[in-house]
Amino acid sequence: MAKQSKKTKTKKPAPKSSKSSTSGGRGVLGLLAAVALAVAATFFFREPPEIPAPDTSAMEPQVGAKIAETRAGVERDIRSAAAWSKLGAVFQAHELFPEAAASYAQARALDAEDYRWPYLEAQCLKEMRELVSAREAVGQAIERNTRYAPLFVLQAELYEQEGVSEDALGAYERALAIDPSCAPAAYGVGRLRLAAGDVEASLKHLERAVALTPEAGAVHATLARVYRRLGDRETALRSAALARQLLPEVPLDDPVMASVGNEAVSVVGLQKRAVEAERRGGPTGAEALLRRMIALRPDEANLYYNLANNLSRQSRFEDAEVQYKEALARQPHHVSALINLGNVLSERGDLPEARQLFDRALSAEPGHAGALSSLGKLAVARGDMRTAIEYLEQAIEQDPDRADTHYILAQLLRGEGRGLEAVVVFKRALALSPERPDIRFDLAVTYAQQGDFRTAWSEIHLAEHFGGAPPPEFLAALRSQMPDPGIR
Amino acid sequence: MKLVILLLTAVADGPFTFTEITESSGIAFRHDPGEEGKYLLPEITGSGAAFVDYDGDGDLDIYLVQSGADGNKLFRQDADGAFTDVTSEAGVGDTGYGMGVAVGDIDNDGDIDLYVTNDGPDVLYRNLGNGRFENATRELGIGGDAWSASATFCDQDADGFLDLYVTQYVTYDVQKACTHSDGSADYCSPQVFPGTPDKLYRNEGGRRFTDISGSSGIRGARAPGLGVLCADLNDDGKLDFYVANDGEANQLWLNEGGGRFFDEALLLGVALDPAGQPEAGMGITAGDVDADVDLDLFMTHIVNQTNTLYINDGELGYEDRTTASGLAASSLAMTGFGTGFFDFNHDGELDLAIANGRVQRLKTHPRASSSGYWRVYEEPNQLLLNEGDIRFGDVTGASGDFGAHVEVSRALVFGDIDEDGDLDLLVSNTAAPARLFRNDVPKEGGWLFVRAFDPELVRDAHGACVLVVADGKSYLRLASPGYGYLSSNDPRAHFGLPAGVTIQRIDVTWPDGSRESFPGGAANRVVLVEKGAGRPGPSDR
Repeated sequence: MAKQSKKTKTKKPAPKSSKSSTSGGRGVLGLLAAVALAVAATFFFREPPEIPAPDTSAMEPQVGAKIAETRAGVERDIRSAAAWSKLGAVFQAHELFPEAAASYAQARALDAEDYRWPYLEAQCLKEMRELVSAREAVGQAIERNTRYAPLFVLQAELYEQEGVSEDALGAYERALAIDPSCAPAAYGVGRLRLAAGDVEASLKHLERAVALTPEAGAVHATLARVYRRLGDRETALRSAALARQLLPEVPLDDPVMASVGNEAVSVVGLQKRAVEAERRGGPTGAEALLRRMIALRPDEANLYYNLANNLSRQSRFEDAEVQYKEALARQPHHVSALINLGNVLSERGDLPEARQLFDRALSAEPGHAGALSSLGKLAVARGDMRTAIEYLEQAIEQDPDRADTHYILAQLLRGEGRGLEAVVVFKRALALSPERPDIRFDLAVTYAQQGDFRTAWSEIHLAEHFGGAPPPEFLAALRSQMPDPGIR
Repeated sequence: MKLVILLLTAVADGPFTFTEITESSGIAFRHDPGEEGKYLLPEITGSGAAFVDYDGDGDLDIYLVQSGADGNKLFRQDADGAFTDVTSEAGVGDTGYGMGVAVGDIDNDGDIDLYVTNDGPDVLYRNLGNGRFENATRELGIGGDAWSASATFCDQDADGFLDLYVTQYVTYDVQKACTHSDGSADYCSPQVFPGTPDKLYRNEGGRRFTDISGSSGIRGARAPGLGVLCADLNDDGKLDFYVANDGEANQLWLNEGGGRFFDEALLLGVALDPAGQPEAGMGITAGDVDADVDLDLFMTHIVNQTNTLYINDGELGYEDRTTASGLAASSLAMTGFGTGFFDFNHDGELDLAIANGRVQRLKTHPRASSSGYWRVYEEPNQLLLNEGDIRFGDVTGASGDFGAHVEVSRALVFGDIDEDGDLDLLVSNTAAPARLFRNDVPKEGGWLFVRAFDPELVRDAHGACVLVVADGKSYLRLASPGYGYLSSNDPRAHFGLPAGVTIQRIDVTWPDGSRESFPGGAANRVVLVEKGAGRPGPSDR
C-alpha cells in the first residue's frame, strides 16, 4: 500500500467584494449598539435625582414617620411619577413647600400627561413666592388640561399678584366658561371690574358670586363697597354686617388640592382636614379626625371642645356634654366651652347648672356677649323678662352685629308692652338679616298691635318676597282689621 | 421716573446712607423678651420707643420700652448731642412686660406726659416739669390689665384735652402651645386667642379719664389691635382713628361727634386685602403720597402678605395701589412692623422706611447676624424711595448701616435728633440693641419743619394737617407723633422741598377743624405756627 503525501492546504482568499459588505453592516450595527448601550447606561446608571430629606427632628413623630415611609416608596421606584407625586403631596400637606415643589417637578418630568403635577408644583411655588415660576408651571398644567377650572383660578391669582389685571380677568373668565358655578372666579371678575371702575359690571358678578356662596364674607365685603359707591348706604351697611359675621373664604371646588390635604397627619393638618370634611359632608365626616387629634394631644382642652361642638352638630348632646366636661377639666376657664355646655344643659332643662356655667364664663371674661345672651335666654325660660331684657341689651352693646340677639330682645320688649322700642330693635335685626321672614312677621304683628295695619301688610309682603308664608290666623285677623292694600 | 443705582449684592455706603450713631451717642439699651424656647406670644410682639422732648429744651430725648426686668429707659439728649440715662431720676423705669409708648400733654401744663402699654397693667407717667415724672395711673382712672399694644393721644371731642385710644391685642392663654403644619413648635398665631376690644378714654380736663369705649361704639369690635393712627381721614373737621388688626378686618372709626364712632373700613375699602381677606395688620402711617392734598394710608403685614398702600380717592373711598406702586414685590417675603412716610432726600416726595422681623421660624436669612435662638426670625429693614407717580424702589442696599443690620426689628421712630433739618431713625429690636441712625443722605433740596402749637392749650396740636404751598405746588403733612408701631415720633410736620422754592404760605387745619393760613418765606428752618395767630379761612384741602 502506498503512503499519501502530505499536502499544504492554502486558504483561499475570500473575494474582496463580499468581505467589505459584511464588515460594513456589522460596523453600523456595532455603532448603533454602542450608542444604545451608552444611552441605557446614562439612563440607568446616571446619578439618581436627590430625594428631598428635610430635618424631621422637630416635627411631630407621626409626620416624620409618614415622610420616611413616603420617601421609601420613591427609593423603591425612583422612576415612578406616582411615588414622587405622593411624596410631593405629603410634603405639601405639611407645608414643606420647597421639598414638595421639587418632588412634583420630578413627577412632572416622568409623566408628561398628567396636569396635576405641574398644577400642584405651581401651588407650592406660589407659597414660596416664586410667582413667575408658578405661572410657568400652571401654564404647563393648562397645556395638559384646558378643562379644569381651578387651573385658571390659580393663573388668575398669580396674574393679580403680579399686577397684570387684564390677564387675570381673562383667566377668571375662562374659569367661569368651564364652570359657571366657580364662585372664586365670579368674585375675581367682580372685584377686578370694581378696581377698573366699572361698578355696574362689578355688581353683576359679585351678586352672582354671593348667590353661589352666600356664606363667603369676602364677597359681602366687596359688595359693601360697591353699594356704597352706588349710593345705597343701607344695603352697603347690611353687606358690611354680613361680612363681619361670616368667614372670609370663598370656597373653590378643587378635588386635586383636596386630595393633598388628605395626606396631612399633623395635629394642625388633621384640624384642617376636619374642617374641610365637615364642609363637604357634614359633621359625621369630621368626628374621626377630631378623635385622632385628641389621641395625639390628650392634654389639649380645645381639641375636646372642638369634638364636643361636632357632636352637638350631630345632635348627640349627651356625648357632647362629656367632651365639654373633658375640655373644662383641662381648662376650667374655657369660656366657649362653659357657654356651650351651659346651652346643652339649658336645653335639657337643667337650668340652675346652666346658670352656674354662664356665670363662670362671665367671671372669666366680663362682658362676653355670648354669656350675656345665654343668661338672657335663661331668664326668659324662668319667666323673668325684665332681667332677660337687661342681659340682652348688654349683649348687644358688646356685640352689635348679631341679628338673633336683636330679634329675641325685640320679642321680649313687645311682650313687656314696649312696642315702640320693639319696632326699633326688630328693624335693627332686619338691618343685619334682611332675608329673615320670621323677623318680618314678628314686626308685622307688632305694627298691627299698634294699629298700624298698613305697615303691617307691607312687612307681610316683604316676608313673602323672601320666601316666608305668613301664619293664616294672623292673616285672617289682619284682614279683619284692614283688607290687603296690595302694597308691594 | 428717577434713575436709581442700587448696590444689590453687598450692603455698603451708597447714595442713601443712614449712619449708625448708637454707641457714639451713649445709648446703651438691649431688649430682653424673656426666656427663650417657650414660644410665648408676647416675646415676639414688642417692643416700642419714642422720640420725646420731655424736658422742653428743644431737642429730642429717647424713651425705650423694655419687656424684661431691667425696666424701661429714658435717655436725655444733652447739649453736645450725647445721651444720658436719666431713668432713675425721672422715675419712668416701669418694669412691666413693656409693649409701646404714647406721648402727649394730658393736662395742658406745657410738658409732655407718657403712657406706657404693657402685657399687663399700663402706666401713665405725668410729667412734673422738673425732669421728674410721677405714676398717675390710678389717680387718673386709666389703664387696665389687658394686653395693650399701640396707643395714641388725640383730642377726639375737640374740648382741648388729649383723649387716649389704646389698642388691645388678645386674651392670651400662656398654656396654649402651637405648632406648624409639620408639627414643629413655634409662636401661636393671634387668631388662636380671642381678640380684645380697644379702649377709648375721654380726658376730663386733665384730672381724670373716663372709659367711653362702650358708648363710643368701639367696644363692639373684638379684634387683635396692634396699630392706631389718629387723623381727620374724611376731611369733616373731626379726628378719626384707623386701627390695624392682626389677622382680622382693620377698623376706620369715623368720628360722628358726641363721642360716637362708626366703623367704615369695609365700606371705604381699608379693612381687607383686594381678595376680601383679612391681613396681619401691624404698623400704620399716613401721608400724601400722590400729592393730591389728602392723606393716604400705608400698613405693614406679615410674610406672604404684601404691605398695603391705600390711596385716598376722596368720596370713592380708598384704592389698594400696592402692586402698581412696586410695594407688593418688595414686601411679600418680609414681616413688617414699624413704618413711616418721610422725605429722606428732600426731593419733595414722601419715601418709606419699614422695620422688619419675623414672627415664625423660616429659612435663615443669609445675612442674619446673631447665632442663637433669634437667628431664624431676623430679616433686614427696608428703605424705599418714592420715584414719582406713586412708584417706590427698594434702595435698602444703598442705605448704609440702616440696611446692613439684620435683626428682629419692631418699632421705627422718626425724628430730627441732630437738628439738621432731616429725619433720623431709631429702631427697636427684639432681644437685641436699639439702634439710632443719623440721616446722612445727600439732599436734593431744602426742608421745613412746621410745629403746630396751640398757645391756649400750651401744647402741640396733635392731628393738625399742615399744607405748604411752594411755587404753586401743595405739600400736605400730618403733625402728629402717633403713627408706626408701638411708638411715638417727632410731632412736627417735616417737609422736603425742591431746591430754591419759595414758600407762598402755610395752611393749617387744626384738630378742631378750624383753618388758618400763615405767611410763607424761606425754606430750611423751623416754623412755629400758633393757633389764633393766622388768617382764618379755607385752605386748598
